[in-house]
Amino acid sequence: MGSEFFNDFIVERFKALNTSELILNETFRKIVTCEIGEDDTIKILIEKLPAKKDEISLAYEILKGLQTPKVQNTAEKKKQLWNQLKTAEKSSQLFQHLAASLLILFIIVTVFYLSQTSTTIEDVTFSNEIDSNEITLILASGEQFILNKKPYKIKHHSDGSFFYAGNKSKFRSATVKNVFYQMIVPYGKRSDLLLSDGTKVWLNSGSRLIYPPAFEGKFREVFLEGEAFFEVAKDLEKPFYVKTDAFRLRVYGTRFDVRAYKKTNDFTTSLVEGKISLTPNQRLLAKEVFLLPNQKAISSTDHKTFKINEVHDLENMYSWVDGYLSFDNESISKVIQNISHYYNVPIGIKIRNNDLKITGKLELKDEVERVISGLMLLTKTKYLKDNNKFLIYQ
Amino acid sequence: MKLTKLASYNILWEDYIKKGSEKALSIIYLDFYDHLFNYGLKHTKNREVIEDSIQNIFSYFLKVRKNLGPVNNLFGYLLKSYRNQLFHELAKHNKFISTEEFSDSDFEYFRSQEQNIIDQEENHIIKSSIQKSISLLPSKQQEIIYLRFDCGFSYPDISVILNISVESCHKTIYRAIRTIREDVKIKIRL
Repeated sequence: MGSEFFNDFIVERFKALNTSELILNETFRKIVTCEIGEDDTIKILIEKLPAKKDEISLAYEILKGLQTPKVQNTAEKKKQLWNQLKTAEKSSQLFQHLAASLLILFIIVTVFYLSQTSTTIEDVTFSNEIDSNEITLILASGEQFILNKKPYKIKHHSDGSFFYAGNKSKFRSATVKNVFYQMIVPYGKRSDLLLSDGTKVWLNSGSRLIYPPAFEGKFREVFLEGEAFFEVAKDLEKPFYVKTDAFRLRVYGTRFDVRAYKKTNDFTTSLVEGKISLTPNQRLLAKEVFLLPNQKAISSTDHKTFKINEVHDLENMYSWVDGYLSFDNESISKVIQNISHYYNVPIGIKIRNNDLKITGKLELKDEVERVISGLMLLTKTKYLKDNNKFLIYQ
Repeated sequence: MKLTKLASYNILWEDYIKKGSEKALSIIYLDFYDHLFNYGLKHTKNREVIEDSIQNIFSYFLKVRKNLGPVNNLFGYLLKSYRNQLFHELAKHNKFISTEEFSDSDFEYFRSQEQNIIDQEENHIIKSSIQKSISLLPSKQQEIIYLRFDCGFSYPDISVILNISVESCHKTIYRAIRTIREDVKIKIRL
């Protein structure tokens, strides 16, 4: 391209142009950005058109000045990002296949662990996160019951069998010994069950209870992750224990609420009636801490001690048992926080007036959106939904 | 990027959409990544959004290959897709993060810090004068000028990418160049 012919051609074209026209000229722009011509094309141009020297060099400087520095990512980084993209794509194609085989694997692992004769609660709790979308009862055999049709009743018997009564079907399971069952309740759902000793347990959203279908041995013991309300049947011979990741709770016949959410590091126990004691897991020789009715014990962040508080609105704390959240002159942000926690859904707030107080009961519907839209109607706010996130605004 | 080369990317694109050649798409990805990245930097400081948006459009291309059609100007097509995705991601951020950090989705021709440090270069008067003149323009006009002079897009391409008429491209660029030239001339005389 760097021929005499080309040079003559551009000289002829540019000789009548002023600075602006040069800048706007496509050929001139390409010469400046080195898309056409040679490195010295501009120089030659100025030599051949000395009268236009100022205009050409100004046009050149302006076009140069309009170029901005570019960030260059390394080839390795780009290749890595591309590979990530490909892998993600492949895995999404394989996802269903994989999910099926993972489920089988999970069942095999569970069966393997549960079939060990010396199974303890600790052996069972190792297993995975709460990832089911439905309330699920997992038997020692690995068999899973999806409990998505309400209402239903689950009642355990002292021989290790349980009775299920749903809308359409009823059955009684086989008797088993020395095993553990798990009930898993995903976010936004609740469930309850009757243990073999007559103890009633209500499980709140995002919880897991591990328990033996029949209590054998010298004491009764269950493991809890999440929140549950207990009405423990009296049995002076066999003390009842609730274990969590932070503490062990001993029951002396009573009604109480336990919260053991790992995600938010919320380990709190509130006593409604009777007598219970708590012992932190962290310290081997720790003393029992006793709780009186209308008191709550909050586990310290390191789970070594407890802070005991009096509670005045105890009923509000476990109103979820009856299927609603109860608020007494609570700020809207606190209410939203509760809903967000219950359904495990991020909810943002952009509200100028945070003095908005709410008193009353909020029904816990299955769909978080129905709860939010109801609340919005009351408080005259609006909400946006995006990708399962919500934003509340005025 | 040279135009001659740009045309060959259109062929690579056809190789991908018609024959499913992932190799072809990977070349496009690797070669255009920096261009999209730099374009993103003009819109926001949030590099996470910039990178996620690139991943998302290519992930889309991988998913819906059979629904994709041939294009006249691949760079323009990529930029337009990327621009939409970027705005989508930024809107998501703005919705849920109330801090001001992400609210600057406006186009800025000379955004990053290093671009403002024009040290002892001899032509620094001209450069700083250009930057000043451009920064005073509305962000949409800055973007038009950027696509024309920094990326080298034609007027029809720009009108497609930004959904505006070819005439308004012409007008904007003509006026902007006149202003820049006048401002520079004043600066040089001083």
